[in-house]
Amino acid sequence: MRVVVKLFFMAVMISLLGGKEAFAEASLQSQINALPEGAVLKLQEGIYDEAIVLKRPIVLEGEKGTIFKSCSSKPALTITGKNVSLKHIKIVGCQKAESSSAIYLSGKQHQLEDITIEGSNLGMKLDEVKNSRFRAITITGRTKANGFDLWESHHNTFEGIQIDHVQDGFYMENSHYNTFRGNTINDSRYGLHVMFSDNITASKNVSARNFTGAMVMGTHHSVFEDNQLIENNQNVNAQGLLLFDVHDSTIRHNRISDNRVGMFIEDSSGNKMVGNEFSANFVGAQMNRIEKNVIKGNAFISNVNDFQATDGTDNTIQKNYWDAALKLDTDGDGMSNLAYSADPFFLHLTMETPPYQLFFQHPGMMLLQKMLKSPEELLVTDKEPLMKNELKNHIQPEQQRTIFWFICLAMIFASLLVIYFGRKKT
Amino acid sequence: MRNLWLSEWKTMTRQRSYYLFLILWVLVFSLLFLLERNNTGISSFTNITGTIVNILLYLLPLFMMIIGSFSITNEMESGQWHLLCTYPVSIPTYLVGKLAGLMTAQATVFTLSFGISMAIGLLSGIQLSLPWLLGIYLFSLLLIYVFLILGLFLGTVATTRWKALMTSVAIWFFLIMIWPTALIALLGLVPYPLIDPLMKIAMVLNPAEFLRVFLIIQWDSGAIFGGSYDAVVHLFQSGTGWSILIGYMIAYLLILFSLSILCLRRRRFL
Repeated sequence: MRVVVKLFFMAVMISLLGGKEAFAEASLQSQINALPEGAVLKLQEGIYDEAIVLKRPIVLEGEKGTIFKSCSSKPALTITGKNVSLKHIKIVGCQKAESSSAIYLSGKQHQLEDITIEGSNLGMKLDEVKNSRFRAITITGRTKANGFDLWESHHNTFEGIQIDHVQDGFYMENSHYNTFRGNTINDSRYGLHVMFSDNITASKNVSARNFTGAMVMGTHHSVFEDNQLIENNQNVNAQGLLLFDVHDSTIRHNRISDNRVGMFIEDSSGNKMVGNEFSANFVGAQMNRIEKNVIKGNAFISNVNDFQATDGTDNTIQKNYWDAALKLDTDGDGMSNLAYSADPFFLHLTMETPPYQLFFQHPGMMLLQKMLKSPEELLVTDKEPLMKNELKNHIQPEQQRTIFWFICLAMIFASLLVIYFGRKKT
Repeated sequence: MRNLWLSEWKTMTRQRSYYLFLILWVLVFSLLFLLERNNTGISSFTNITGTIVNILLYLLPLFMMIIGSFSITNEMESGQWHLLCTYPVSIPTYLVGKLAGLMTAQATVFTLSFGISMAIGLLSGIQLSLPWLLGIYLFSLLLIYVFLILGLFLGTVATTRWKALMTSVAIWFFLIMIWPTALIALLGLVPYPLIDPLMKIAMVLNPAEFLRVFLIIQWDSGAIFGGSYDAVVHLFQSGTGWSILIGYMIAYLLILFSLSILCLRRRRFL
């Protein structure tokens, strides 16, 4: 009898345990639905192959190895309503996935932290999201869609986000008052892509090896500061920072290095560009049709061509440091008495006939440019260039000196030997 | 051929003017490297790179063409050529020997000066990058090679040293100094869609231009040439880029030497 009872008890236990497991696997969604508002659901490690919808204010917290797989046409996670928190979660897209995004958000006051998204089409789609925070998120895409896609989303903060191999790192349209701080976007098309969004703040972001570091079109009262836009030089239309139709914005203390064109600015007015460093770009800055901008205290160093400009009106360009300028300071005020101008000749020439771009920095072109000096009123001029670069230089790490010396001495001795044998009488 | 090579090389190294080049190159390169002192480490295409490339393009082609053409016209004028004609030396052997001798001598003096300038740069604590330096060095050697061949060809055409000098300067001026001006003027006459392909053909025809573009592309800076040259940039950057360069160098040598041989053959019995 005892044995029978034991067996019965064990059977009940097994069925209960097994049943519970099956329940967890089958519907995480129903578990979530059953939670009260403000509850915390901790997800154990494992793969969840289920599209989840979060509508109410709860906290969903994973641990290392909590993975959502999104293979259906729905986003792996859909977040609506308000106050939803998501932490420590990884989302992996599968090859055949056709879902529009890994995470779809709408609503307000969400918090997303420590999220990893890999191999998905679009990282996060934000549709009318407000006052939400995004921190420590990593997105590795498949270059076809954007990392973050913002539509009419305002007052959000994005911090410490790493994005690579996507189309645009952050794409925003009609989304105002968003803040981007300390994010890194590499190997993508555009790092930051602003379209018709006002009052954007971008600071301490790094955008490297993209087609364009930051593409800013149609914005008012935005601030871009302390960003690093570097090595965006592989594409024929590449540039560090592109500003088009940008008004009353501030661009300061950015480091724009090793790009094809450091800063390209067109049809923009009332902007302040202060204390930026443009170094080792093919063209430091290219400016077309700009008016009433203040370009002051920037440093242009080691650019193959410092700046090219056409049709500027009422701009205040002064007290910049140009390493290519002829400088002469007679009154000791730290500013050169010789104005420095950008000749629009080459820019005009290549705008009319792009194939002539091949003559960039051609020795004969320099001669032609000197012979055909453009009239004074067409020039964009810095009237008081700085004598000294007041911005800090970024010093590159020490090179391998021994190899240098070896090659250097090998060159000297080999050639001396050849000369010695040449002079030796036989 | 070996004797011709040896004699050319040995006479060059024993001339005092030869060492003037040493001073010239050391001066030019040391000053250019010292210019970089104020800047951060150079590793890619910057304004200093642009300046160095331009100065090389100003100096090397002119000197090499003069040296190449003089080395032949000199022998014509002194009668050494007629003496050589009585020896069993074929014209191709003569030309190749001359080129080898001149190349050895010029490459040597250039290498020595480059080495010394590098040492000066290193001693004064300038940050230089190795691939960058080797790029410039290779570019210079190729310029020396290309324009020595052109010089030798000019030597076979010109009858006197004076004419050789004049032609060298004229060709240098055309290929380097007014090349963009001439092309812009000429291409203004053709229909707009033809400008793009003609520019590419012109780039191949002018060896200085070909080398300049090749170098800039190898420095990962081809994007500056814009969309029209995207295909060229990709081609040069791919694995076949270097084989194209080698093929170009061989084809260039063969074409100019065939022309030189024709000219010399006509003059052999004059």
